[in-house]
Amino acid sequence: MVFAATKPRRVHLENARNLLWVLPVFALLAGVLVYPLASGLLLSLQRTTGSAQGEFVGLENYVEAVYGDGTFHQAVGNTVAFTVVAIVLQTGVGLLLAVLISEVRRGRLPYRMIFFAPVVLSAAAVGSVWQWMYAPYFGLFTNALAALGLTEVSSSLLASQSTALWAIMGAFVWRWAGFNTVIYLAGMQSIPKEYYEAAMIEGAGGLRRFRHITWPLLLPYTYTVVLLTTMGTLRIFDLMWIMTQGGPAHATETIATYIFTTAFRFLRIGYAQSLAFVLLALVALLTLLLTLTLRKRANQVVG
Amino acid sequence: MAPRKHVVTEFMAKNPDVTMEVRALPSNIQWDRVARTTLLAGEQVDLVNINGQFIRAWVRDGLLNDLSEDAQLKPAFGSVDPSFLAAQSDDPTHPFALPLTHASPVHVTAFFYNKALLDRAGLQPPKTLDDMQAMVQPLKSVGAVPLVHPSGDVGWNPLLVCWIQPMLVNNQPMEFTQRTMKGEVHYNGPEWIKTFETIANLTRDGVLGAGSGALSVDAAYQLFNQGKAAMLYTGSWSLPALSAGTPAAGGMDLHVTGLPLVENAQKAQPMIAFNSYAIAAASKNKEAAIRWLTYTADPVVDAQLVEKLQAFSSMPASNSGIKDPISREVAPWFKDGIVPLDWLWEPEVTTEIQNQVQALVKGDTPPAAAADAVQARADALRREGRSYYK
Amino acid sequence: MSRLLHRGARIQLLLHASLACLSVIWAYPVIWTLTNSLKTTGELYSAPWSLPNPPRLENIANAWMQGQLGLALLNSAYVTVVSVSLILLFAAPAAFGFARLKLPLHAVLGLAILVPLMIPSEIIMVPLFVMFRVLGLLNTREGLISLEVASGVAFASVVLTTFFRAVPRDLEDAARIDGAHSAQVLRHIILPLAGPGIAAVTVFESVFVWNDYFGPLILIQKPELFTVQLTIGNFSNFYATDQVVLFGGLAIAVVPPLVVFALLQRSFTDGLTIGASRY
Repeated sequence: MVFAATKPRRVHLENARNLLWVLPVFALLAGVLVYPLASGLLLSLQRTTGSAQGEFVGLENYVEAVYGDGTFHQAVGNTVAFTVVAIVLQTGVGLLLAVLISEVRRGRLPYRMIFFAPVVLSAAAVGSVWQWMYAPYFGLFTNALAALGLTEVSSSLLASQSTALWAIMGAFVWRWAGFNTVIYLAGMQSIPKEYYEAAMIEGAGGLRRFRHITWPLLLPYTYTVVLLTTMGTLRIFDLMWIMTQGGPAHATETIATYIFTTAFRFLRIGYAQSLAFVLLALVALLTLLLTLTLRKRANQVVG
Repeated sequence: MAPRKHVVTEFMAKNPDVTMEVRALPSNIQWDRVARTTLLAGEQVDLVNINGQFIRAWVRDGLLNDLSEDAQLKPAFGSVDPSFLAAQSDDPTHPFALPLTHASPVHVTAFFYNKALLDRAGLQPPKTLDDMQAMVQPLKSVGAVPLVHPSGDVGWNPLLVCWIQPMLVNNQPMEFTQRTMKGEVHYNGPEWIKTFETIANLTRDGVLGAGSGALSVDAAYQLFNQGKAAMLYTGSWSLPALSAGTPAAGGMDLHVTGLPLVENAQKAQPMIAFNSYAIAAASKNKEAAIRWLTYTADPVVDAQLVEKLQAFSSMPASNSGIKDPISREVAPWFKDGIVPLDWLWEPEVTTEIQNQVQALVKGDTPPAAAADAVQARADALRREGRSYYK
Repeated sequence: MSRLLHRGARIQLLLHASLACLSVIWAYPVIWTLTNSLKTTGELYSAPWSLPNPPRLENIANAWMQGQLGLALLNSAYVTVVSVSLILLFAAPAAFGFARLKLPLHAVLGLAILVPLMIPSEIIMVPLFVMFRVLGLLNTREGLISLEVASGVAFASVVLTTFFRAVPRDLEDAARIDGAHSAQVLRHIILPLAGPGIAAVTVFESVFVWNDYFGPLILIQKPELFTVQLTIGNFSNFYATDQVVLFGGLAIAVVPPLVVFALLQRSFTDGLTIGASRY
């Protein structure tokens, strides 16, 4: 006897009906996402300036980007460096605040509110506020550093090539750490109290409890935080554009700001689009890397 | 602004079939990107009020119309002083823009100083760079520096080059620049390195106040008004802001002096800066645009505007209407004026120079490295085929 | 026993002290911005640490007028309300479909809807600009709305799917036995029960759309169509030259979202918490 392995017709019908519900969303995405992506690919193979018709040059743009464009290399370097440091700081600061708050018995809410509040502000507002915080002479940060004797009141962290990118990192962490704290707090709520009690009975100190219970059980959440941070920083544009426009001397140029300037100031549309696809490749690569390494470990712990 | 709006209203009254809508764009370095994006977006743009630093690039990118083709504009070009036409394109016989007061008054660069502060320190306005170096200590004792410069707003950095370089090249800056751009002279050759060195030394010697590398224009104005800086190197376009500033403790007595001499130069050559009106290549209303240009280039209209604005015009005849005392102090320097050099360089090279000068002012980079960076940019541009001179 | 309690109390005190300190540092940038908006430019430079004396509301008024913030607020409000409504209109049915789909389509499409989340808008900004220009959607609020909707709909669908799936199947089956079609099931059973999820998505998407700077930057050049974020980001370019007026503008940009957050903060954090635990 042969068992026919076909699906009952009822399931097929149901799937077809459910498909109809899902269609509008995909139609919308096809139009506003897929189509530009496809036409963008064609664009990246042309040498186009302004709105004039471009000429087909094959992979020339990509070759120039990868081998010939020093500013692009600098932008890639800045973006990757920023991403790596952001991952460490977002995880670290977010977790630190979460641990502190979770140990508090009463009155957690005000702290959660204050640390999370910058998340609701826009990049334009955060960027502008921090730009003035770093301003020479009247900037809050500048004056604080000068009071500590670390710098002159006439200087600005944003104007120095060595510190500008990390000054922006300060604004970035201020803006997002609270978000990650809330994620971690959610995770900590799901850790059974018994684990900690058992550990304390065995005489484990705070640090050991953290290393052997908290951190491993929070790995899925760390994965989320790292993934969200990476996807956010590889494409970062707003903060850099508002605070320094990619300066001084490209010290804060990211891939996105460089694409923007190339397309809208220098009108090199085709070339700009090829840079965008290099960014896409970078995002895909890093996301895949993260998923393969971190997610596996996270699932191992939980499962 | 009201006198300029008045001209527009009168023009529309005399030309009832034409309506003119004016959109203001950022007047800082973002102008170029916003203007180009507006054109790229396909919006109707007929006239462009364009600063000279962008004209060559816009001509290279085919964004403007050749105005020499229009016979109606010949009289307009005739009333303008020919020296202003040098920067209107690569070829003076094919100007792509018309420098008119309505676009912006003509401005000249100079050193503005606070006489009250100098008096307190027992100093006279400097005639040479050495004089400026001698000012450092006396001014320090009254809590001020000789000069601050808004290097943080990088568009202001070429001014430093324009001040110093002409005097290092035998007062032949135009010819020197052409030769540099053709590749006969290098950006990392001796003259350019000396220019960058002189700029770096301004900071090293304390002539340029520490922190200038981060300063914005507003901050620079503030420091000058509050008596923390004795001088400000800028142009007559700053006069409204400087005159209106909150007075410094100890008083502000605003005066002007010419650019201090560098090395053994005999004369300084200030920059003459102005905006021009151009017609966008994509314009569909060329005829109306030409009518506007003809109207604003009418000597009578121009003279009236000059009198109301008390600012200089590209038409010599109108300038007799200037009565403002500080403006009259500024008038003598026009005759030695040069076109701003960053109007001649390719925009990519200009950007590189802007950034490198900021680094020099901050003391972040040695002059030779700065020069090499600019040369590298110029070389890359030549390889891409986008230099002005192939 | 009492020593344990005593030690516990000391630790709590230490925790509160450090957290309070950190909170002040965290909140200070906003406080500083607000105090600056009440100063004169002279005060700003000469007395950066002191309080304004006397506090002046002029800067805020000037910022409002010079930056045309009333108009900008209207633009932002219109774009946000319409965009979020449309996002829900697209995402709710899609989530309904996703929640009920069986394998293998469920896996394939589930992955497909995640792809847009990986593709940042920065990558398509140029061809999008070109496409919108051809369609005449540049410098229109409708064009901006279409971009916002397309950007937000994938995230909303994914989140809503999680909430819709949590609605017990029996309720839906019972309704179907009574003769309800899918649309009725969606409207009367799923939506009410997934209320918190819808609230969370609404709140999140509203924040994203309201705060979007990049989209308007690319698509809008006409000042009369500027959103609040575009105005704030462009303030030093287009408008004030007086430093303190810039702070006045920032005060206007910063206070309303914080007030709304203070009132609705449960929706923000709870939505994120639930979302994070379900992931």
